[in-house]
Amino acid sequence: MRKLNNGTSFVCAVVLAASLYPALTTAAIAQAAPESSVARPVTEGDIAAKKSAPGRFVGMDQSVNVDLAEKAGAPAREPYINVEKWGDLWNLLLLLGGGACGFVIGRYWDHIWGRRRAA
Amino acid sequence: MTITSAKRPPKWLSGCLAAALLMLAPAPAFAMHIAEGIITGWPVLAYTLAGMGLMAIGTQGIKKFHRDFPERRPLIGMGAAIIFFISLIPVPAFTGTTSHPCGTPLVAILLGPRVTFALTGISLLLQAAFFAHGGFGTWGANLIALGLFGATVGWSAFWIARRLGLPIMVAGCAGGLFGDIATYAVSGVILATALSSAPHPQYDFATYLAVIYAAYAPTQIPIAIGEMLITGLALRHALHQRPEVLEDLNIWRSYAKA
Repeated sequence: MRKLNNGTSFVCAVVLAASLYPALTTAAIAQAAPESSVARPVTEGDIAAKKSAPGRFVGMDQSVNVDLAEKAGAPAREPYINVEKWGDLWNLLLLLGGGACGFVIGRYWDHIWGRRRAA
Repeated sequence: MTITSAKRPPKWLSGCLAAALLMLAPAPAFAMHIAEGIITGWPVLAYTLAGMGLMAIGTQGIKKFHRDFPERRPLIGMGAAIIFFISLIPVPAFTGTTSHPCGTPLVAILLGPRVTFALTGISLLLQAAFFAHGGFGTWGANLIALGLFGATVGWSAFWIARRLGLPIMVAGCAGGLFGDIATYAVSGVILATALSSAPHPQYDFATYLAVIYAAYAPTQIPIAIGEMLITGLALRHALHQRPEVLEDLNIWRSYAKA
């Protein structure tokens, strides 16, 4: 029980730290440079620049495959079912996919990686 | 054998907890999956036919697995979920891009390469349909890279290491590493072939291949090392927890040093 409590406390502490980290760092940055925190309207150019900014962790598919294909005159086409255009439904699909996979893996985990059974 | 007297949580609860954790995955990774439209013309037909052939072989493999191991049937679903989810996880690399592991080497070692072909085909189809990931026209090409080569090379590396008498951890690591690298190597070959025959190719096939490999390597090598470790640890843990399952599935039989 004590082990479980320790483990649970550790997980809770990690989750709490991870959830507080962005808020704390943002507040610290804003305090250090107050002039940069003046709000201004976001333009389409900002969004485009943000999307193409290096270090934004774009997929290797985009940064290698699609770019090379465009330069070679064989650009990637929009998918036949472009779920990215569905707004928040896209998030719902991601959640459902992850949840379904998680349920199946968690439900049958013990068939290979579960506790050793009595002989 | 250790007998645990503590009451276990119900299985549905484990499933729900894992589901909640995996729902935190923010967005799919686009990496080895070749996007819709990059491959055109007759190669689409050729790759799709090859993919359908692999699916037929895989279906036979699943039927055989059901016949031989009726009590292990849930592993098929778990294998499909592993491939589907692992090949969507965006793993950030030092280079500012993301990529994903494959999952097919681990599933191929556990369930066999033939079963893995079919599970990969279904996963790729669902990803193309509902996640804008890959494409229907490139489904066959992606299945060849991820399913055929990822599974077969990973499985072969594991068995070669096993025949050499290496511990299961090392053999699993070899399977994970070579399976991952083979997937991206073949994906690069398919892409280089498509680009060198595109309307305005910038390079010849060999140069395209070198460019693609040079671009893939910094992102994918750390991820391949991660997949190597996870595959090895997963098999080692399975052997420690449920050796009878690995023996039933003919993964561990006559294996002297674990």
